[in-house]
Amino acid sequence: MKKILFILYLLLMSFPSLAEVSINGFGSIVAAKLTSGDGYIAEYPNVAIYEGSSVDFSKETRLGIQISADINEKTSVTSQLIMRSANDYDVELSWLFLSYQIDNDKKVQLGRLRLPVYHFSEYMDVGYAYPWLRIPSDTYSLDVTNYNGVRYKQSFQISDYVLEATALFGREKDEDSELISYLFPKQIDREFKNLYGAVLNFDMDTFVIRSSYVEGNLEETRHLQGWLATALGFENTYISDLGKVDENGDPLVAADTEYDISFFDVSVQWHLDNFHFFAEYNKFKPFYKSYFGSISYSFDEFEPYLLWSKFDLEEAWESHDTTAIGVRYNFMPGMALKFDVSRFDDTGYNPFTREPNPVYKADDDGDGDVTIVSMAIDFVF
Amino acid sequence: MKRSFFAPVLLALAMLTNSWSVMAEVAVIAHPSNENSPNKAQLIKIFLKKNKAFGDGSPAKPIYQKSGQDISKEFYTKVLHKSASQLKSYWTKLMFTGNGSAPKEVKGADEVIELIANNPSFIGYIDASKVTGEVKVIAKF
Repeated sequence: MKKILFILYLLLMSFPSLAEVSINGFGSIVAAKLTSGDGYIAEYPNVAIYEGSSVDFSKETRLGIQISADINEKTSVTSQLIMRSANDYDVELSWLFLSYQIDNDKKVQLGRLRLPVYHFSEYMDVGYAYPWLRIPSDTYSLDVTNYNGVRYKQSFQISDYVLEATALFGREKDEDSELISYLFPKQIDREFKNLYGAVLNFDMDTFVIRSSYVEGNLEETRHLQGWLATALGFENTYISDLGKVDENGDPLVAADTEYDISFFDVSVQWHLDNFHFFAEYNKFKPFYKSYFGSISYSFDEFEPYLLWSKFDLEEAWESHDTTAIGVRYNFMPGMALKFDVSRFDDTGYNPFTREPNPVYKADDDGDGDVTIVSMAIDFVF
Repeated sequence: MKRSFFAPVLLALAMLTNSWSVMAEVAVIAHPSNENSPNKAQLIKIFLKKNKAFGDGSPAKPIYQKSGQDISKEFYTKVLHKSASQLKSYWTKLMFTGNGSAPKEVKGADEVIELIANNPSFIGYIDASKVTGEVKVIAKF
């Protein structure tokens, strides 16, 4: 399937003369090196982890290609593919939708879309579109980035301001989630059913306030050893027909859990002459909260920034924050060079033993704290 | 005597530096039949595609000149209050989130005038000294 998509893309790209088809792309070459600590999870959804102390280009480097075409006056089709070094450059489909422009202010889109749970959710892969080298992983940790469904957008002109409202509905399946499997030793299948959401974006030119709310049902199926299921208090375990086994070949039992989940996010962006302020708060019920704040200053082609972000699980197990200082330099049209030093502080601990419980565990006495130096070239075409 | 020697030199220098710092006046132009007179905030919204219609409800489609041209830089700074790379970031965000495409970019004032003269939806900017009778100036910066 993926190969077919890719070949289709190559074919389309080799016939640029096809009317009304536009091809654009973006990418980032990212190199980073840990100067202290054992490992750093730079990006959760695709599990980009820097380990050891050598310079590594193969974690966050990525390329996106977007093709869109007008089908008729009101309808267009857009698709976007991303290849990431963290996933061995497997082709993944990040967008594929039909868009129907109802009138100047209203449109409806149908297909595979991005789940807009955070301010930057829809373009967190497009490094050129923001000042930081990376969107901090403390805040943007949700592994479900897409959904299949529909969204409706309408904009309202309120004096000199624009209010854009989005309503969405869809669902998403996430089998054998790579992230969850990393964080928890056993496989978990997850299905997000009946996702409903709304986004409001109030744009006052130099001041933008955005808020989003998404709710739904999350069905999790854990595959684990029978004794562990009992120890963790799972009732109604069953032998699933998937035939999953542990590393010794012993069959695993399955346990289902259902959650009512909700995401609430609010962010403000303020441009005061050359100063740019950003603040975001996100709550994923019933699991965690996260925060993100930044100040940057643009002059000539430079934009130095300071950034802080924090993640807090509802329980003590996971808690961490990142402080970063960096600079963006627009050294050529369509290209930006970025440099960043981030300090990651892990304060998660086991509430029973009071032992540190860092998200990245190299050995038993690692505290999880990390300093990482990164360089990136972002480009768009 | 000395003074009379330096005066013309200073004058020439002043004229030279002046000619460097004098910026072209930017004229925002539309079709002669366009009766709208948007203020600066409204022009910004139209040129950033945040508003796709003129005050009277008719469709508004911005035309830019190539970003490397002096008049474009002038327009970005004076009207949009953005640098070329900030504007590019803005279009990038719009494009890759499925919210629209970057506007049409053409090569020079002649092309802008020609497009606008033939389509009442278009709105553009050119060096004020290049305005012709085929288009209407709706604002100057």
